[in-house]
Amino acid sequence: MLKELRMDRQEEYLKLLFGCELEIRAFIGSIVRGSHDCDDLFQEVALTLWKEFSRYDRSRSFGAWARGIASVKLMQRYDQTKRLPVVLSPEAIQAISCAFDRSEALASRKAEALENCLDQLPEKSRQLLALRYERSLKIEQIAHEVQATLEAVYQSLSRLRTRLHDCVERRLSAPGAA
Amino acid sequence: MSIPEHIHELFQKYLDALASDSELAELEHLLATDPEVAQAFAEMARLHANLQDYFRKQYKMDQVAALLNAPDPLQSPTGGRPNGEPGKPNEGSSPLRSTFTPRYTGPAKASRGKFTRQLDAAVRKWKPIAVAVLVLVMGAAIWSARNQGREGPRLISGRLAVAGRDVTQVPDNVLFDVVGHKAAVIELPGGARIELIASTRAAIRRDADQFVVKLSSGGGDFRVQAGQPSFRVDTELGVVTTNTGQFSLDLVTTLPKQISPTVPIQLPRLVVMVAQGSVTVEHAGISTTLAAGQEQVFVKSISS
Repeated sequence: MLKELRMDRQEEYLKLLFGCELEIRAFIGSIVRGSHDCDDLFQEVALTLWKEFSRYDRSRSFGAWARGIASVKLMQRYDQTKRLPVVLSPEAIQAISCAFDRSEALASRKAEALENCLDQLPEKSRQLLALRYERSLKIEQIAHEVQATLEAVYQSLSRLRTRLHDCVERRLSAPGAA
Repeated sequence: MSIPEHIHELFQKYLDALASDSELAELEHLLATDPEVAQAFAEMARLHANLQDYFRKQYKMDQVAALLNAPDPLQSPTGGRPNGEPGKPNEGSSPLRSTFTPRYTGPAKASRGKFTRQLDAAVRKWKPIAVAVLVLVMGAAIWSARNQGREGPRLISGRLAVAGRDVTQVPDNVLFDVVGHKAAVIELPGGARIELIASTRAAIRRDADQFVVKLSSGGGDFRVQAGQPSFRVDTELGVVTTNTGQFSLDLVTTLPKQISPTVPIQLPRLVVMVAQGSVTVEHAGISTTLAAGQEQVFVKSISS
């Protein structure tokens, strides 16, 4: 009986965690430099969430609760290391966490809209994004690979992201999108 | 919500790790004091994460698709994809394909026994497959005999790419990049092991009884044990050789593109650290032997 209860609790936890894994990773990734550090912090947060799961108030959003715990971890890390890998101050971390909470409801629809927007991009643009996001190359590495200047690569990526951001917003605000 | 252009640019620079210290301080202040800026930043960070997620999934899907599309020699003994519709005989030009075409055997067929006809049909059906399997087995045996003792390095873990395309085997004497976040672990015939860090560019070849790694940039850990073929690493800043040893290399060949007054400039250099055994480094015409526990930095001489 106890074993079953524990299994149910694990299942519920995993469902909730997987449901907002991308959001938690996005939050951590916006504050931490380096993908290894992001992964380490995410694992640390996931472990703490599981340890504290009995105290989780189900009337609250799991994502907001997880971000709250992640914020504490990030602030602790900032205090220990002063800057790297956590590059933003506790005040900024708090502000970003609140901003993620406010816009959480639309997150999954934005991800879907982004896939449609990416389908419309020319192949060349997709290739550039793949270098950055699939192979996780830094801007200088991409510049070396495509034999362009750092500035040109940065500007192209910057324009592409702005274009995708606008496309996502347009899709969500289009009539019938709600 | 209207966010000024230069703040958007701050977000972009920050996400690409290009923001200077003063830009970082400005962003930090804006985030902490203006909820609208924090909101816009969260949106951009979310987009960044969604892009990462999308392209990584895409990569996995491409890998699976490549596996599914790989030709299966046993399924198509004629060497090609069947071009007929399902249930219809093929109408291609391959001479072997005729084995599958029903033949008119005339009145003689009627006089033959049922068992003989069934046996004949089974032979017609399985003969080309058996021939193909035999050819494959013989081919593999010949290839294996020819390559005995000359097998190449094996990729144990991590990802390699040649000219931007992922490869599953370590190419012979062709420059490859270690892609992704993880190091690539390569085992050489004889058991020597190389662990190249992410973003390393290198090539591996066999030179007589020696393995030669041409390291263009990056670095990693190298382990060669007694009794294994000797080992050499060629770099722009020196040649590292060992018969037995464990050492790490870190090679920087270019000057940074952006210079910040607060970040020390890393000059082109080769750092050699020896953990076990000994390693000899030929640099600018001078040979230096480093023993276990020693570390030395070799910098580009002004004349070179």
